[in-house]
Amino acid sequence: MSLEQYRDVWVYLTREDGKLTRPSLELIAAGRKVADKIGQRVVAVMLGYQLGDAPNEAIARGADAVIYADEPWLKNYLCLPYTRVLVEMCRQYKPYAFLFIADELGRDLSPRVAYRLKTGLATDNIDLEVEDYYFGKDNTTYKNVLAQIRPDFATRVAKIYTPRHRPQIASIRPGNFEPLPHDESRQGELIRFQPSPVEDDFKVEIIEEKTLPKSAVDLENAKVIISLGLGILKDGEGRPRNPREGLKLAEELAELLRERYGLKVEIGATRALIYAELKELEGIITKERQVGQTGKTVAPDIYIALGISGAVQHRVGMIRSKNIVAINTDPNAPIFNIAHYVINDDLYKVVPQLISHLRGQ
Amino acid sequence: MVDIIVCLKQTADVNQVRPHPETLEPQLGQAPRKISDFDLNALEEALRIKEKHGGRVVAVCVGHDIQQLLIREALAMGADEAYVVSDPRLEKADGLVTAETLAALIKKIGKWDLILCGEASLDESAYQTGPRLAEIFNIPHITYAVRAELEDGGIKVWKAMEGGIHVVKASLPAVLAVGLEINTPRLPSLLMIRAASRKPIHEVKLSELGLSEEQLTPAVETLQVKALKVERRRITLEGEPEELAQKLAEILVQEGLVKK
Repeated sequence: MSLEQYRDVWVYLTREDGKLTRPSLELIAAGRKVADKIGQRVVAVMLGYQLGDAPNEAIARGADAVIYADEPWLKNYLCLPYTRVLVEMCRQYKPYAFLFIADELGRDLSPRVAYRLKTGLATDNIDLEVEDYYFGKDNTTYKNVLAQIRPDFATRVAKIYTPRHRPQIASIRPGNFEPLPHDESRQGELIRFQPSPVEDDFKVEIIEEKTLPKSAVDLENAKVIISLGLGILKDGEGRPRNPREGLKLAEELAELLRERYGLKVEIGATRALIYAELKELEGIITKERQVGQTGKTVAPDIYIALGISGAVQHRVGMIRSKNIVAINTDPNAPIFNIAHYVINDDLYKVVPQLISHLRGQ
Repeated sequence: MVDIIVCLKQTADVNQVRPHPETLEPQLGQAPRKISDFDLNALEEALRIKEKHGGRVVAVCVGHDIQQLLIREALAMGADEAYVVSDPRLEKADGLVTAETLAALIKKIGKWDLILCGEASLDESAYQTGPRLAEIFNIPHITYAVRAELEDGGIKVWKAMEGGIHVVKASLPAVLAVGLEINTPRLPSLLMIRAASRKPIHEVKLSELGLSEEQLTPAVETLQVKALKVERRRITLEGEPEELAQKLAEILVQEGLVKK
């Protein structure tokens, strides 16, 4: 079968409380960008039980068609049965590309689907383009290949192509595409897929679901994020500091910005700090504050990085912030490569002064 | 008794990669190598399971220019032996080739009950190896494991999901992918480092694995695209902490970054 016979851009959508999630709406927009370039359709793919109005919502939000399976045994996400159904769908309809959200579910599911279809996978992309790709090994130019774009190191990006295989599978990081407006007048075909369960796929069972209470921390909508890294454990002279002191400074600064300027301010943190198992921060600096690859992607007006070295896993989560202020004692900290305002000094000296200066302004 | 395979990746220490001052190209070759962070969490978890239930922990590592010293570190932490495939061809390996190579190596090792790996690598962060390996062996995988316990011949795992935790039970054999959350890797004592020098490292040639040309050809092609132009204005503030704070306060207010 020739590559041209694979058509349409598929997007795997997820729901929460019966509604499409925000990253799902972004994923439709990402699919729309690609599909419009190649003159094909965006097809939303949904698996679950009692999908209700979600397929119609996908159409209103920019999809041209929906393929869905609505079965009691698909109620909860389980990788093996979900993989089987998606692979069956792909074998039957032969999509050009298949996009997933780069979240815990998408990262769990997409590699398995990719392997079973013997195709490539590009994870954690921030943008997509369509380009011709010259492949030296077989001296062929492949037309209209998806260029899957992800940050590489601070100073470069990687473009990943899957020229010889279909579908081209990619996951897209949340926070990089703007959802399309809701348009009730859009029409689209809804195709119900009716798979049968295979017993062998139920080698993993969910024995308990613990839902965390909805977090009061709202990093995504904050105007200012003051973020803490492992650097708060030491001061400029290399003396150990109780991390609570660093936290207290961040909280004071946050409170000041809230009160005086009416800004929405949140405290963020790196994954390394959150999981350093520090008793002093227990219950305060938790996963819901995590910025980065496995945490939240944020783009506030001001991102103040305190004692953050700026590993690539952290940077991808905050690089789109409009103004990045980095305070760090290490002159070689990678965070300085992307910061707008570089302060190579001790946060324990600078931040208290900053607070008093802002008070006096 | 459980026999556990732990997959280790040698990566550049990305926190020590500096861009070239002119081309801005990251100078990967000059950065020291290390075992990818999460893989050490995987090894630690394997060792804890072994301490509780008995069995064997075998480290496997595939890649190019692999430094024996790093493999010795894993043995010093407590792995019983290691299998290594080091071949220049693997420098361009993608998720597919890496998983095929690891799987072929693991098949050579014989009996095992559980494969542990880091959820993603430090340098590429592709999040693929665990699920792809499980697919090759046609066994279940569980990613984002934050706690794991062997139970009635299976494994019970606390798995992080968006907005909560799923406690799941899987039959063995299975693949488990872990991150920082699950444990803190031990630092080997001098005694353990000495003991490690007597543990076997088996070097296996890529050609011995019987992989086809297709299995060794990446499905994805990667182009590193031009150093991103640093379009942003970058201002380095200088002076004593007092002045730094004053300048920053002025910038925040005068530039209208903070406003009522």
